[in-house]
Amino acid sequence: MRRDLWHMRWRALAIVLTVASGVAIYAGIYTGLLSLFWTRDSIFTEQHFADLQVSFLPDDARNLPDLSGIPGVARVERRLLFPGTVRVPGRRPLAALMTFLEHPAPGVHAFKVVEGRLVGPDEFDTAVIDIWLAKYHGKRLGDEIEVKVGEATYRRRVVGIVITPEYFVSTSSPAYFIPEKGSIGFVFANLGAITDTLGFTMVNDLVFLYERGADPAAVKARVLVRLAKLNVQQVLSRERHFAYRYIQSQLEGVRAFVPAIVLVLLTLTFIVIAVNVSRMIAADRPQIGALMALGYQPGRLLAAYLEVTLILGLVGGALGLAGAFLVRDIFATVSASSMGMPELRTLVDPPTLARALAWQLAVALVATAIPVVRLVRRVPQAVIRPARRPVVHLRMASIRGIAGAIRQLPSGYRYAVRNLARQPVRSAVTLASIALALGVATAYRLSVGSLDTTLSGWLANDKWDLAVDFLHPVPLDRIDELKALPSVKQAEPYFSCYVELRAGDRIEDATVLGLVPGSQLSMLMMAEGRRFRESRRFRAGAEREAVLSRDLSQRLNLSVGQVFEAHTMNERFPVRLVGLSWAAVGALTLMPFPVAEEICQFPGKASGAYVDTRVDTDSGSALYDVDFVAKVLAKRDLLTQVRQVLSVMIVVLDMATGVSVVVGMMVILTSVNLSVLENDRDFGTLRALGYSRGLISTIVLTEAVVYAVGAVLLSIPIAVGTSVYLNAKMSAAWIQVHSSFSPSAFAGVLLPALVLIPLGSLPSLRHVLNRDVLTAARARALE
Amino acid sequence: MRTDPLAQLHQVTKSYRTGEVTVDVLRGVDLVLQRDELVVVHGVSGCGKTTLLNLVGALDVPSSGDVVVDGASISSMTERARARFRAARVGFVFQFYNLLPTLTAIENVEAALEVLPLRREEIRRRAEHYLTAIGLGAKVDKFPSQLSGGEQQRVGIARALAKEPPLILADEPTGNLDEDSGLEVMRLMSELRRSVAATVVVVTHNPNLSAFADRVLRIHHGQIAS
Repeated sequence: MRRDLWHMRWRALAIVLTVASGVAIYAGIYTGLLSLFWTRDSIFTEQHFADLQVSFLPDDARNLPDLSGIPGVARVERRLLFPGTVRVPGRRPLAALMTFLEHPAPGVHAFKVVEGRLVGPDEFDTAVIDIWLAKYHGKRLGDEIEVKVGEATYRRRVVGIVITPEYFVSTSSPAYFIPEKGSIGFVFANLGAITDTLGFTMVNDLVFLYERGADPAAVKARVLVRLAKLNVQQVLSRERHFAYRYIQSQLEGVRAFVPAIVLVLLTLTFIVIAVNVSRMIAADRPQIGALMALGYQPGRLLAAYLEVTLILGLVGGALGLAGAFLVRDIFATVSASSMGMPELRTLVDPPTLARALAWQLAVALVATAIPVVRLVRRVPQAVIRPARRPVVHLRMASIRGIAGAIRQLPSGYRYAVRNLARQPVRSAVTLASIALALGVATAYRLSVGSLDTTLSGWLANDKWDLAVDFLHPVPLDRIDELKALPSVKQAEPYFSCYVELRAGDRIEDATVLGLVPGSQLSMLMMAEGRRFRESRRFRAGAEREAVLSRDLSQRLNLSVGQVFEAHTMNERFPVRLVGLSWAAVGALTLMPFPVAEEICQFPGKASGAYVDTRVDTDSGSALYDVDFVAKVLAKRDLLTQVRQVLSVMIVVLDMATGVSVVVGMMVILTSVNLSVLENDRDFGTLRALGYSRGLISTIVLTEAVVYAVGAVLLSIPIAVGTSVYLNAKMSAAWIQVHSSFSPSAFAGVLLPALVLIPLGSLPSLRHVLNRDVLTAARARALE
Repeated sequence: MRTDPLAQLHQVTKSYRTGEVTVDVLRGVDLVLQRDELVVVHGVSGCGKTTLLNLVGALDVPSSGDVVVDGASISSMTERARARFRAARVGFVFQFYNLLPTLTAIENVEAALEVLPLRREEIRRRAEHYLTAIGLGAKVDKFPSQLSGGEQQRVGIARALAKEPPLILADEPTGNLDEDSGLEVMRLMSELRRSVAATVVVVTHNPNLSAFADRVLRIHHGQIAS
């Protein structure tokens, strides 16, 4: 068998490349995912990502409770955080977060210095900046940076550029679970400067690092008990931190797609190898029968074929493993860039590589064993007898209409098309396997497109153009300052704050978002129940109503109609759940504005506003002139970010498309090659009859094109069905995804397939054209 | 039979190289085939009969010497020109019929005509005419697998005749048929070739076919022996 490898080189190539594709995609994407998780986790560990962050109203550090000796807490650090803006010449003001550190080299959320150095212990006029501020806004070492916080302006000289795990991936707005690279400038300075000015140390933020092995929930509870007297604004555990949660959910999303791709590849490996081996043993029947007659045991014959498959599988596996590094690097690099990770650490995971190789080899060996075992179980005489020339089955072609259409074709084309009906099982398997590969790849594109359309639709449903976050809660009448701007058509205040929700023994952190009655700008997408009752003022004794995001209700095990408690600043507020909303952002509690005012304990104030501008493309630069404005988020930019986030999935899908097309070519190579070899004599006859090389080429290509067109047509319902299924899964787990079937999603996969897949017939064509005409014409049986 | 040469072979040699060994299959063959004649070529396996057929039928080119058929020199033709030449001027009949299994009898005949500059109606007319002439008028829509061996070979003859070529080459046309069927097929070919005024060259081991021949040639060691 080993000596025959050269004679069956095209079949061998098909097997090798199919196994290689499977191994490369399986191992590449999984090691890519592992690399991304490893990057996050190793950096978070090395740089001591905080296990808990507690924000509260600014206070004198001396008023803070004693934070020492909390069981499970290894380290705690105090900080002062101010939202503000950075003025960048020639650009619109950039939202910024000024962090004053008690220790210039923090032990929690530690820095990795990319350039320059850290702030010295006694340096009050210097700062270090986050890497994105340097990359996206051109800030360099030695530049002076000016951060405006309300009326105050802080000027610092940049002495270092750092990566901090805290803002490893950052979002422009916590209300939208979408990262926006460089949309906020993070500046770190010495807390001593503020202490020097005020005469006392003011802080508003604590970050905790737990001891290894500590129970996070128990430690968090102990910390919160210790901080009970503080006006806590937000409690953020590691898992709820955007940088952690976003990477997790994004990669989990991608990981959900991968098994189906792998399954398709394994199926195709099985088909390609089973078809090839069937053909090989059909050609070798006389020799196999003779060996059996000579006393060779079936097991020995089976071992010979398994050995060849194993050799080819190992060669394919080796190529695949090499390709896996490429797939890993492309996938991980694009994903990291899209998510805004400033650093990527790739890893090699031998168990994953071994698993990828083992699965492909196992499938290849099973696909080899089945046809061989079926043959060698027969008696030698039955094996020696050559396989009968395939009987012509024309049931397909005799379907009225199809038959008529085929009859109109020139003979060469008619011959090619009817050849497909001659081997109905093989044609069906070929069509189905290519259609499956293309269908699944198209389905993923359709689902990503559906997600894009759904999210864009949501944003379009909200009538605001700009979401404006304030530096601090401001009296409601100051919203008029926004309305007075010429570019602003309408502005509606909202109030957002951190709360802790309790239902039975379940406790969850959540964000309250209070919306004004009859809001014109912000809409709720109800999944269940109803919207809360609108009221301009909360009446004492009236029942508080809220709408929760679905994820939050599930975590609290709450149903519509039940009551839960909102805890904030040592107060408890019973609230009735009246509805559930679809929300891209998790852990959201939507309430009437007066109820949010009461729970957040900021009566008559707003923490932000939704703004409708006169021109849709307004980026809101003018709003930065209002002194309480911290951050302006344009919906248009959010849409761009949505698309960038989805581009991570698109990378995987492009790979899947590429592999589908390559596998389709392999299947065509196998199938058309078989057909050509079986019909060698027919081609010899046609050439003897005067058919030119061009006409012969057209006939061979026709067969491949019919396969490609048939597979493309068959893949459409597969794609639609699979996409609807995937969308239903996403709807159940996350947000209601409305299925949309964009022609461009189909075209993205199916057009390259239509063009490239027929090229898989080129080796067969080469064989036909190089074959001696009369030898082929005189051939009697299958070769 | 006219004494008007259709094909002339002058000092034709054909050699094949197999690894290090060169085999001279034809050695300085001189041959003239007259128009309308039926020539039967005998010889043992490997003597060069089929090679001679290949050269006259423009399936191959000689190693040296000249092959001129119907005024055209095969030796100097390109592959494309030889394909055009075969399409227009040569009809082939094969031992194993070589019908395309997915085409019906009439479609098989039409397949040979579609490479000629003929109208569709003319292609259909000729195909029906020659299938009827060969006695298969009632089976034009049958697939090869639905026909007997003799019937399949008759379709093969109709396919060769329908082109109305000046030259028909038959390679062991009765080799896969029983004696009666073989003689019937040969009789039909012998009669019908007159209607198209074709020269027929039949390569065979069957001595009974000599009875249909205007001339019998014997090839021995790559040369015309008689």
